[in-house]
Amino acid sequence: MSHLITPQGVRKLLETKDGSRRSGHITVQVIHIKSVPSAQGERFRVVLSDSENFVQGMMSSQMNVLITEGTLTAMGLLSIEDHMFNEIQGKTIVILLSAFPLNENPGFKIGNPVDISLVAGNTTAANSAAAAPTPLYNSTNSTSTVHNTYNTKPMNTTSNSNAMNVSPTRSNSSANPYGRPTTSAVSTATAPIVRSSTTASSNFNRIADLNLYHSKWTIKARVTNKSDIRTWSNAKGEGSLFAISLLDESGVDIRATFFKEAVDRFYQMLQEGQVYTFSGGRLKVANAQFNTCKSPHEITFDQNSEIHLSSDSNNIQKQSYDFVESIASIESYSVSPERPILVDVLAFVQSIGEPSNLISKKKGQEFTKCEVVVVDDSQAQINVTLWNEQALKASSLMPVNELVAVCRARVSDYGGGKSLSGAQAIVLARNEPVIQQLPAYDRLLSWYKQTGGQAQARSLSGTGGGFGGLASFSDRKCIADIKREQLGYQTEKGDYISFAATVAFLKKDKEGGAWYPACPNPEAPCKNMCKVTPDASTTSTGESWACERCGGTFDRCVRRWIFSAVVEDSSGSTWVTFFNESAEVLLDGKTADEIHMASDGGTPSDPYDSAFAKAAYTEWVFKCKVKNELVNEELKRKTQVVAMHPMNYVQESKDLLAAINKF
Amino acid sequence: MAQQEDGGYPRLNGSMICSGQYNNMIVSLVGQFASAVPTGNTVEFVCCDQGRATVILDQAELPENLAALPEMYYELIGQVAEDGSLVLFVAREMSADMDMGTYNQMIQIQQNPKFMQYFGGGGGQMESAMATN
Repeated sequence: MSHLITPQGVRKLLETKDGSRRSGHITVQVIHIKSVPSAQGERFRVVLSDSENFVQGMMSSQMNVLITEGTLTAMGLLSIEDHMFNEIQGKTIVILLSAFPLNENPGFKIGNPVDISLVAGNTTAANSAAAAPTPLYNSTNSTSTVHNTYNTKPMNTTSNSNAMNVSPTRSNSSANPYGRPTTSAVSTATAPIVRSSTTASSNFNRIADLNLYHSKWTIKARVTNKSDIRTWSNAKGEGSLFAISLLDESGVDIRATFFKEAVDRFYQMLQEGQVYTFSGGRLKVANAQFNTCKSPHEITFDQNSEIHLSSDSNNIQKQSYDFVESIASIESYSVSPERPILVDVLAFVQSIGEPSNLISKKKGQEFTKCEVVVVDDSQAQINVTLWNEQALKASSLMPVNELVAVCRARVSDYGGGKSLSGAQAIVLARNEPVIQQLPAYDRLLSWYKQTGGQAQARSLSGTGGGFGGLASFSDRKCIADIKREQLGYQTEKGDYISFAATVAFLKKDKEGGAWYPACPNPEAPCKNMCKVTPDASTTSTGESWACERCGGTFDRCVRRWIFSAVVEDSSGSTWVTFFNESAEVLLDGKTADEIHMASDGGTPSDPYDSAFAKAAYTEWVFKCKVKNELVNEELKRKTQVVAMHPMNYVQESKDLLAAINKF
Repeated sequence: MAQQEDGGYPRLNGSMICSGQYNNMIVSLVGQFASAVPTGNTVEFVCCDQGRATVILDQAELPENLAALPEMYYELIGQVAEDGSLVLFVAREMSADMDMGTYNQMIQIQQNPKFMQYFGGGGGQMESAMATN
């Protein structure tokens, strides 16, 4: 098995040519693995051996899974595709960026490897290094180029005992290639000094390669996205910030944030679409919740960071695109809050809704929302929700009948269907040569020419889409389908169905009224929804209500509608439950408290009866959630109304006529 | 002359009433009056397909509010004369925002042989148990 190990593998790992450090599959034996806790989570230190020498190593965080899943174990063989090395406290550490374990594990240490740092001589040179480790790929700092100790131009003929024979001039006699030279060596070295002003792109770090071990790096990247300036204020203080997305040749983009003074210094200067060089930023692990970029890291720049406009931008795309196969494919995505799914979608804009203003219940902030429907040749359409500035510019960002690229939108399954929200960027395909080269572009254009995009597509957001997004005609079913399709048995959460029906019967005659008393506490956990019970100590001065959930006692309650009803269509009828929000729609906006007061606080009477009478035999399009629940040890299907809107007879007629014509 | 089921009447548009197929039948026309003022005892009526029909006012008068509500759509029930004009029996107000295009499509589907069976009383050719209204 020793034949699998790359001869002189460790030395080769520590070699570089022209600043490149790609290993091209160097196989070593991992003779030791040790878990090291760190601020960024568990890390693994490893010792890599080629049977003659060994070197200390560290798994990059994306490689941890090889160890945690047991694919790589001690004494196993590892083929390294991509790595870098770093000096930490005078010792060279190989950082494994990409590697895969071989199936073979001899189970014992092959050979008798010796620490490579001891091979070339004493270790004092290593200790002469400055305390702070310096990365080897900083191209802006000219002193750091000397740290390319594996530069193929040998500078000092005395450094001959080192088989590597690459060290530049040193002030000390030891030819330890792993030691960091003193600054005097720097000034006499004739190693090529890499300046950031050169146009060779290899002098910049690639965003794809950035990792937390980099303390000094420079990237050249395009600003693909710039946010507005936002202000924050919390117990620790307040300030302003803005964020940008940066994309470079590596095709990976990264988020960068600027705080306080950095905002003043850089906000005006940075323009979307322009290319700049960036250095002096701090790397950290990205916050997946807010970060829509591909890189697992993000950068923080401060007022001392260096950012310069660059004229050379040929190799950097305007945006990186990774389009989904089709809108229909999104249907099968399973979304979880811990793992948000971001997608790029290339599709035609079918229709734009009216922007609407909403006020956040939590913070009382006002924001604007606009729903746009996009469609593609998979005969599926999906809602894209735009917010705030994007919502206000909806018609110019996403003109109807235009092919657009929606980038990094979050897939949401709110309300049961699928929809997209919070796109990082939206571009017109006709402005993007990169998109025009994709086969999907031609395919979509020719589909559109043939069908006009008018072919009846089914909406993925139809049975969902949150905020009253109701099914289009083609997505609607009939009441008989509830039983026929065994709804409620499919998923634990419940199944959604939309259908048009008439209210045939309202079960309003409950003692005290078709409502329940709810807690007046608008904050969590109650949010005006928890049931309260009348306090035993109701005095003659008024009522008293007690809430178990929040523990409060109140002199009033908020009445919330709850009642059952039978709704009917041509295929059959079903019992449904109306809760407060949908009941208020049904009863023409009348709240339970209103009716209760109009009934003089006593038993229900004329205002109560007439409110229900008006609702009888009205026609609606309902969206219902069907779930099976255990009631008295028996599984019963429960259907509750989640959303509803009145039947639009004109649109309904049009849809019916179109369907008849197709028959 | 076609048979007409008792109580049923076909719904027509401008081109259908002129076709001769419905002569002497009692029919329904939905549309708007072209003018609030009759010319002698006739007035022009704009049908749902934008075709025009002549309405004869021998047996009924124009609706009272016609001048005040020029946008109002009416349903006219009357008998088709030999020349394709309609002898008005009664005019009913519908509303001011009827969608004529959709209505026109609907009455054409009623005449479609494939679906005629589902619409009773109209067309006069087939018997049906269903009433149209």
